[in-house]
Amino acid sequence: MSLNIDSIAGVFYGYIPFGDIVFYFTEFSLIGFIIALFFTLVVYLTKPEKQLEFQIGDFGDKLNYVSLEELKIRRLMAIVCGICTAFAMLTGDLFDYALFLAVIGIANMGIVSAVKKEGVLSAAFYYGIIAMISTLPLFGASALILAKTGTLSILELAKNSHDLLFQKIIYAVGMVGETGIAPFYAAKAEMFRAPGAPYILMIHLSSLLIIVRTVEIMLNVH
Amino acid sequence: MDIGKIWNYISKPEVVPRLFAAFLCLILAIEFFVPTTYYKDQLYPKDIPQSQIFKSSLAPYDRGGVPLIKPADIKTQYPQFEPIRGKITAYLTPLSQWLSEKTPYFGTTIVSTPGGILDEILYYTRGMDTILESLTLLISFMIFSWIYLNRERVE
Amino acid sequence: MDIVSYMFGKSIFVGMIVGILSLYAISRQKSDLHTLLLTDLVECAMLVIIAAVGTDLAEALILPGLVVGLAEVLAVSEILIYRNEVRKNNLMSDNKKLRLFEEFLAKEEPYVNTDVNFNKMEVIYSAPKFIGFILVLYGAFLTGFTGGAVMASGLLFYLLSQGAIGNGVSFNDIKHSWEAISGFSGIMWAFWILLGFAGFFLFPEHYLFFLVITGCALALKVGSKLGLIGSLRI
Repeated sequence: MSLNIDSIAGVFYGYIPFGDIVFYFTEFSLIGFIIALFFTLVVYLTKPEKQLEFQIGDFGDKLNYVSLEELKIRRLMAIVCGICTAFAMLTGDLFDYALFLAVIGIANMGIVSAVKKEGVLSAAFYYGIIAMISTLPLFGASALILAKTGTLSILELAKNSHDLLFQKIIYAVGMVGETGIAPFYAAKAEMFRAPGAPYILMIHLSSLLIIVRTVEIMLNVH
Repeated sequence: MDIGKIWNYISKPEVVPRLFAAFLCLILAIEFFVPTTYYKDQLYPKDIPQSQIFKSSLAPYDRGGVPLIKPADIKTQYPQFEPIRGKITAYLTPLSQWLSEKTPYFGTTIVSTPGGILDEILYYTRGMDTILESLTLLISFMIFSWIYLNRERVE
Repeated sequence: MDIVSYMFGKSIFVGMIVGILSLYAISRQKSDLHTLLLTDLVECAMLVIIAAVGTDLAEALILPGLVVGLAEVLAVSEILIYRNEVRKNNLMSDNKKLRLFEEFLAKEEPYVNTDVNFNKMEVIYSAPKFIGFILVLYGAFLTGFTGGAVMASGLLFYLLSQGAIGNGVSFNDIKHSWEAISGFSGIMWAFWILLGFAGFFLFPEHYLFFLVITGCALALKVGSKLGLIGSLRI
């Protein structure tokens, strides 16, 4: 079966084959890849921010800082999240993309959960519950697409029209639960005064790029 | 009803999973009204169920081929990127080869010894999936052990 | 009409019913612990839908789905325990230590007839060693992810039973070896990607060598990692 490169949106620059899973470069995916890698580098090099908390009705201000062990685990999780976001831009397989989303989701949970504060841990827990629920629509939709069309490759799915509206809807809902909802909980964590700016920002960036990439996949697959 | 109250209600972290589950419930219920069709010409097809029992000791995972000599014929997505297609499927370790001559039930455990159709898919043709899968386990274990070992830490 | 496509629609129907019912239960649930347990049921529905495809590919796709679910349960349950501990400490500042998976254990100790002398029961001392040994050997024969899981269950069973008869490993003992074993597991993961997975595509003629490396490295990775959980008992 020859590789179908004509029906993909944008200019096709090249591909890396790993057996059935082909990573391909178009204008869009290349730009997303470079942005994600650049921000990963920024996260690696930046020191986390510190916060000064005013005490209302009391004397003395409280300094919130990130201790060294906490910095290490949160930076590692942010880097994993960034690298996975970068490669999720390139992948040409629906199930592989779903697994990338699962890794990003669990890395987001790791970034948030290293803070020893009740509100932050609570946010991490409820985010984990949503991520676990949304494996059903995400992997289920990939299986339904496989059953209906006989392939998982985005390049092959782009070739013919298959009438996949319902499957695409639940795939998108799965994406929303797995990473799209992450900024909501990250914002919750920020509201509870958790320090550590670049790591939390990685959640926002990865979720933004993943949403755009999912839209691109959903438009290509038809 | 005041819309501010609704915003305040859904801003609680514990409410969102419940709302999401209810929403997903409604979406999935559409499935009953959508016709499910099954494409006949699938990748990596299986034999007819129960058709290999007692005909081959590797049942139900016998996909043909001779270890190290003749690769099995399997249907993959992009054969041109897979120069050793079918060779891992046909391979059996010496120990498992000896066992398969002794017993007709060896197929129940072949799925996890080196060689066999599932190893071909998991390690070679879709190896990227397995990398991400074990990465998920690795990361969740990191979170688990970090939280566990740093429990006594004080801020 | 062959059996797989005949059963496909019915299997999807069953999977969706399971999924919708458990999702409905989650949407009505107030308790955090019950929500966590019900999400496991949602993952079962996902596995049913993948299995309905009924090809070798679907069988290979079940394993990633299963592992993702398992990994998330591991992380989320630990976060829940930690959250509850922090909450309790905030309420009253006495420092009580929690045991692993305390949420799943009975809150009130049931009445036990303490006249039974467990020290005289030989089977408690000998059986765990034997069963653990058999499981580790079988896991080493299987290799790969399944082999790692079998190996880990052997280790887990042995260590948990040692804890039950009071010979458990203490927290201070495990803290030093923990880093070493989990580091070993991570190195095995990298070893598999660099030597196993990349080797298949760079040097296809030596595929046998890479196949054996892949299987053994994965087994060691999963086995050592999951086996560690058994040693956690304070």
